[in-house]
Amino acid sequence: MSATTTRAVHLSAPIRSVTFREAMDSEFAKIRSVRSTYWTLLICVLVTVGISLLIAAVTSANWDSIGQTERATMDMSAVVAGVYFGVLVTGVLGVLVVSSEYSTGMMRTSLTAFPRRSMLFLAKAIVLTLVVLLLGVVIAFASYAVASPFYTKHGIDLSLSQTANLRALLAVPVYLTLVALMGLGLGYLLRHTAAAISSLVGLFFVVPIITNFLPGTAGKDVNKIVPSNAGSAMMITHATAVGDTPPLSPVGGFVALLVWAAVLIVPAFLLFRHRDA
Amino acid sequence: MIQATALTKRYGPRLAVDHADFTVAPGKVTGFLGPNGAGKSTTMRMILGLDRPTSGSVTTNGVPYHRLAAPLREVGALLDAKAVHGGRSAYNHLLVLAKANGLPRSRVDAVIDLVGLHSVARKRSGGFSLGMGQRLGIAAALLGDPGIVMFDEPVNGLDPEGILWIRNLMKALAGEGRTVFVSSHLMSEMALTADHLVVIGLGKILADEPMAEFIAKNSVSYVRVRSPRMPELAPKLASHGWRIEQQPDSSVHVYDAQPAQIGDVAGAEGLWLHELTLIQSSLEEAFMRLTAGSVEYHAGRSDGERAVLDGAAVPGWGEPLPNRKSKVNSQANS
Repeated sequence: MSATTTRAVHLSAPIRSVTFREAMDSEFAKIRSVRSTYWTLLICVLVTVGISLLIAAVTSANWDSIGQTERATMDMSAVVAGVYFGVLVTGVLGVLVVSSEYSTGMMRTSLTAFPRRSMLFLAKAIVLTLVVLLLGVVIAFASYAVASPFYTKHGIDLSLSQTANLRALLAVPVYLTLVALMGLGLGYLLRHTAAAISSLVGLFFVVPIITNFLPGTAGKDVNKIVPSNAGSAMMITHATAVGDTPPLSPVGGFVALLVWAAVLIVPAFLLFRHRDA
Repeated sequence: MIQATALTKRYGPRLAVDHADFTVAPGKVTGFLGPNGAGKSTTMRMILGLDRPTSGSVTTNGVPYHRLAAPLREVGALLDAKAVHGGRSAYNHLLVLAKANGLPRSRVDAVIDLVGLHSVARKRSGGFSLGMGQRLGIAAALLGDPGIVMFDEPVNGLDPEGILWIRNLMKALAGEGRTVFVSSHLMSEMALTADHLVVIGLGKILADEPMAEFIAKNSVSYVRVRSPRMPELAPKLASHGWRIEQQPDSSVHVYDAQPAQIGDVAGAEGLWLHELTLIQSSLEEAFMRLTAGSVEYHAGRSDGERAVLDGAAVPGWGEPLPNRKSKVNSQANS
């Protein structure tokens, strides 16, 4: 290596302008080539499917002690109950995809290779979306496979030929993906792993506790639209929830969550385009 | 070709780069010299479009960096050897970058061989030593076979073999007609590699000239003379047109003369000498004086005037710094 020559490695191909395709290829190569992706995906599957199974088994074992009103609320949302925790894991993946680049300095290298920031931002978001959607579908059907028998044997109709049931099950990948995108937005805004993850956890586990105590109907309405409740609403098929305030409709939950994601992603995008890297 | 025009970056009240104008031409190594915090890295980040200039502009091959068709094909940069995701292998790191510019996989293997990282290419880069990290950074910079290469403090933390390797690499790259822009805070390092010098101090460009010119202008030499007969000798020396400075320690500094000439004059007059020493201040000192001038300037005044560029006008110019030993017959100008 002391004989220094760069002659041998000349590149003769003509210069071709980079396009969105190159940004996508690069982002896929990135997400594929770090272990944290695989760990996060594995943990997400284990947490979601495991907790869904656990809740199903315990519910089934104690079926006799469950009251009529509560039994009436048993639907697809119970089958995929573990997603309540699973979303945090995909949210963390969304955070890490960005914050790890900032914490390591890789973002500067990335932007040097691909300085068209809007395209880079979009490519990263799309790659994350595709990965988490696919993961979500796997999780949804795996949860259904292991947890639904515990409910069907007690006469709960979970047949996927029912449009409402299928819709509720497919809400799982959508919910997981929107939360991953919220994490992505937080990652860009805060550029710091711990800060972004703390904010995400706060949004899902602390904010609902606070809004739950808000007085009056306005308080109840606010409580409905916090991310965790909006997400849960997407998976409910029987609109007969316990208590006097019904949750958002599935579509309402979807829209609320979409707004949450947009509230984080849009400023993240605008900042990313203009901020010093 | 890199061209900066009135390039300015302000962080709050502080001007990190202050109306910098310079051109980095192809075919030679241009050293970007300045003390730590002078604005070298900020300037390089602006060249790469990472930081947005507060005002002014900088172009690479005539266009702003983000307009380059395929950036890695035109500009390769090593800013920070640690700007790598430590969980990714060296090979995958380079593959990610190659894909971002549509470069073939064969380029990744080619640059890995070039920098000698073949045996660790599949290892996670987080465990790399600083030297290995620098090599990985250089591999990334050369990935697209660019016409412009930029290295920010490339020899920092390297062992002697690595330093020699980088020096030769930079010279070879320039020899191939590429634009090579390399920053350093060490004049001695620049003296060995750079053909052209851009000096920056507190964000201002203090010098932009060929290395040879900088050396000629700044390597001040004089002869230190001591003699018990100085009152008689001094007028004789002055009559030859040589500049004379009386020192507090009773020695005299004679400029523009060679020791032999001074000895001849003294001998002809029968005036004996106690000392006759040629003192050549090093380039390092010249650089320190140049940048110290900008520091003093800023500490003393705050009226946005440009720093004094002409070294001769800086207070104390021509004299060695008080706490710094002058090297006799400095070897710095190789």
